[in-house]
Amino acid sequence: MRLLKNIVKNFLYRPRLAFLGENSFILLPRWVHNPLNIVIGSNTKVGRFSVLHPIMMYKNHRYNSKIEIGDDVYIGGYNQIHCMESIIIENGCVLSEHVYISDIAHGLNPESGLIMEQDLECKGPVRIGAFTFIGYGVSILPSVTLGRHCVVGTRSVVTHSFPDYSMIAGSQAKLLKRYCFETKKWIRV
Amino acid sequence: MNYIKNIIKAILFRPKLGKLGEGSYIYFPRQIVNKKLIKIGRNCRIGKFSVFEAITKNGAQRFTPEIRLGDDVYVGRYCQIYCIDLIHIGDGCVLSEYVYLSDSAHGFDPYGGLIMQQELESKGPIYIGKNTFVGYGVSIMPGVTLGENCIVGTRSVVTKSFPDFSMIAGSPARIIKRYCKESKAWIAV
Repeated sequence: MRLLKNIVKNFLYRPRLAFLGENSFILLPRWVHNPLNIVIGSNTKVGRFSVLHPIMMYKNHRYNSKIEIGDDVYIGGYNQIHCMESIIIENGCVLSEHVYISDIAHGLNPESGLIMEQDLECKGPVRIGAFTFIGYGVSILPSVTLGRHCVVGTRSVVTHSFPDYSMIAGSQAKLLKRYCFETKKWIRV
Repeated sequence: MNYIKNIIKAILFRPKLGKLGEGSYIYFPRQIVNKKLIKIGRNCRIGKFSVFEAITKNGAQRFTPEIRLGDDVYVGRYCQIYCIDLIHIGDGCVLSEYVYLSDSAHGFDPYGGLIMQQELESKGPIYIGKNTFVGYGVSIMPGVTLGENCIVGTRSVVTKSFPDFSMIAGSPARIIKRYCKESKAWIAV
């Protein structure tokens, strides 16, 4: 029975990516665009209704985009990852539901016509350090680098980078607490 | 092949609305209530899982709502529009994913019994000017008028009106930049 379940699971939940490690699954329904630009490590789970979208072509411009997700990552449902340069999620991260990560900005020049006809603009790649927890409904904007073991509170909008061991929250996200190794506690800044 | 594709697209993705201009599509799955009261211009694209509700009655109340989208509007996935009065989205607007627009408010009289049985109330129509960009997960509240060429940042909650050429963000949304026509740049306020 279990064997049968595993076969069905392997068949349904393992799309063909550039690399998909052992025991990793992306549940259905999913919208995986340009799967050859996505690398996912082992033991990673990606939830339902997820959108993984590395852009290759937009308005006759080619982009060399890459999404890299490490080992033992959990990504909840309804997440959207849009990328035109690189988005890296390191090992052991936990992203809860409705998380939005992007390194893209639309061209927003008021004097050059329709927004959808303007070129996209990359404002820098996104990197999320190992063992970081990202809460429900968080948005991570372009050119953000989060360090290791960070905690991002619910519905935060992260607009700039934070170092290792920081707890951040709010729109826009501010540093709330830092981990203290001596007392082994999170201490208010 | 392209011809067949276009015919299938026209059958599936062109519901019978009050008006649906040439080249406009609303993708599946979608939920549209009172199709006759929704008017969409030319070359619009509306993503999957969109919800358009023109509410005509609520208990004994009767409304005459109207949802108007101009030409060349792009609306991302999971957008939700609830209307009892008027929602107007100008030409060339781009609405990203998970955008919520509503011009209705529930009655919140603590002595009025169940909230769902209290009367709905409109706090004014929503107007969005031409070429405005509305970011991911934005909520636009009743009675808001956004000018032309505005930019609304990710996960903002827009509670009041803003003039043309303003960049706003936050919850509640505040003005962060203005477009300067002389220097052709966005300048922090």
